[in-house]
Amino acid sequence: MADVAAPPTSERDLLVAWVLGTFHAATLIIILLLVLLLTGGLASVLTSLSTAAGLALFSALWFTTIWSAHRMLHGVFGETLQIALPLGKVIARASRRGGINGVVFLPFLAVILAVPAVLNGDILPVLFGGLVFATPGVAIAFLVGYLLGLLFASIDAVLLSAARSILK
Amino acid sequence: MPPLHPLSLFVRWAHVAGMAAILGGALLVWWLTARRSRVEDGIVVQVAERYEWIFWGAIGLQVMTGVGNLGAFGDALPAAGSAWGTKLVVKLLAVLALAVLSVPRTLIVAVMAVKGRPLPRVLPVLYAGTTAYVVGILGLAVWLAHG
Repeated sequence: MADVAAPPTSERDLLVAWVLGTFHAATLIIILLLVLLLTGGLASVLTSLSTAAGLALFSALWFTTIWSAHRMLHGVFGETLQIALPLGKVIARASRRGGINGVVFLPFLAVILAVPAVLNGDILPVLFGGLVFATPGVAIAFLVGYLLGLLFASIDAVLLSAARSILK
Repeated sequence: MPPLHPLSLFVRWAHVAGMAAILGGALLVWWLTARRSRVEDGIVVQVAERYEWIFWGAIGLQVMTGVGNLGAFGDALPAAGSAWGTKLVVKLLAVLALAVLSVPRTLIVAVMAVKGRPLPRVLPVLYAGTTAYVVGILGLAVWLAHG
């Protein structure tokens, strides 16, 4: 278990973080799109965002989710992707990392949404929005991220076991 | 018809380029795995591993630029109940399934890369399946683009 205490960051670990981070960010957005499309709210959400703001938001989510996956996977896998830590500990870590990811994404979200408003001279709503983001916003972002982390950790575990069964 | 904003043009170009990378790469790896007797095993696994990096980058790009393309419709975006909206729902579900099904494939390639050798028969099946599925999504995209 020495490799668990101080695991090297191999290219394999970076690839797995890249895959899972991208998978989580992409599936989250596709599911959100589907829900909004089916409930009739997609057009209004898309018209409220500029193309540049939309690209910046997804880039920020993608970046923080890969970073979060990389931190979460530290020492989790052995050489052949066997889980080197107790499963309960891995799930708890994934949930916590998801919560942290939510909080880290929040400032990106706030800045990307605030820039157009500031450029339009709407300073007061931005200050009020900043206050909301900084107080209950952090708690909500952590809770949402925590639940998503828990959900994606469960999905990842199923997909990992599918991969391992093919490898046997 | 108003002229397209340069950013919208770039988004469309990136969406098509990402799809080309996904399909072309899968086809290349499938071809290499099908010619295993002529290509060194280690090279096949290395190419497959490189493809997985590119594939996931392209998937992220597809989602990002796909939303950008939808944004270009603005308020004119058809409802989910319309014929076009139904096609869009089917395409989104197909891309979602591609992402889900691709995670085990990448994990398998990651393990093979550590070992430095492919499992006989597994890689050709994985990449043939990926190629066929992506061709199906491409068909859906063309169907969607033509209303």
